[in-house]
Amino acid sequence: MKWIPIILIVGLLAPFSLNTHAEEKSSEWVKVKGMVCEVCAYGIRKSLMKEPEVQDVEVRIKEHKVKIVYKDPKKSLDRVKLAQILEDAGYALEGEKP
Amino acid sequence: MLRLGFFILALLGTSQISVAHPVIFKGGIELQGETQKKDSAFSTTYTFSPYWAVAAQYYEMREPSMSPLGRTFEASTVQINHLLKRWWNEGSQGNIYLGAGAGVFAPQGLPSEFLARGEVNADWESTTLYVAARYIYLHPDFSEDVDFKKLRVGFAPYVLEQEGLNSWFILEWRQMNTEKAEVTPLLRFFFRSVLFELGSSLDGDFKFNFMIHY
Repeated sequence: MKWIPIILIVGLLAPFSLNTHAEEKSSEWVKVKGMVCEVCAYGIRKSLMKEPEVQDVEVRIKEHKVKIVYKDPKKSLDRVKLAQILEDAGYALEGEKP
Repeated sequence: MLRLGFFILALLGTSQISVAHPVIFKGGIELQGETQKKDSAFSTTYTFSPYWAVAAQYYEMREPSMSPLGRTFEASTVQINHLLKRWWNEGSQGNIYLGAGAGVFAPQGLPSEFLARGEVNADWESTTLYVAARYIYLHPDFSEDVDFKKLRVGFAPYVLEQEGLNSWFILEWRQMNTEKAEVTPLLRFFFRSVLFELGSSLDGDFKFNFMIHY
């Protein structure tokens, strides 16, 4: 019986907890290693644009940064998927080991 | 007929003596070509994984006096390219590639022969500097072996903040077997996925290279 209040509290807090994990973002900037030219930018843009979640991609070669704009802020690419897409394109997401 | 097939594939796509990477992004197709007075090379490459690509290549030597065999010849091959090692850094990238293939060697006035082909590529590039080396070995069944050695260094005088026309200065050294080496300064331009290079060797031979990714 003494567990009932605890279960109730956990049950009430669970939706908030889930909400914080499902991070909403309409766009994000990521740093990409190995991106050095316009041709690299083309490959990255093309690889990311194949993903149904992605609406637009902006590449800044000089800053080694890529901006990903999502169609639905609730459906963004997670970091593992993003790292895989960039590896398939021949590059590496900064902070991830390819 | 087979040679015509290779030639069409190569022209559709495009090179043997590269201005780009033998493996590009997964699902990407690269068309590449290089031509000058004595010879031309074209290739089409399809990258099916981040580490592997398949290429159809065509090479033509047109000047018997400049050929290591003393006669003109054509080489048509299909090759597998492998990205052996890549170093990623912020603002630079280094790569080592291997390639192996087989095809048909057609020396002028002689029957066609089976041809084995191998190559090694290494490059390092940043947003403003570029160094590349390439070695290709052709081993026909009966004719003398042919090798190509190429070294390139380049620099970009500016880096664009956004999309636009990029320019590079490239200096290329190239030699076939023990023939006289060629040194060619080139101007490289690229916009999005289209790259072309124009230059003239120190002996005055005009040279044109191109590369398209899609």
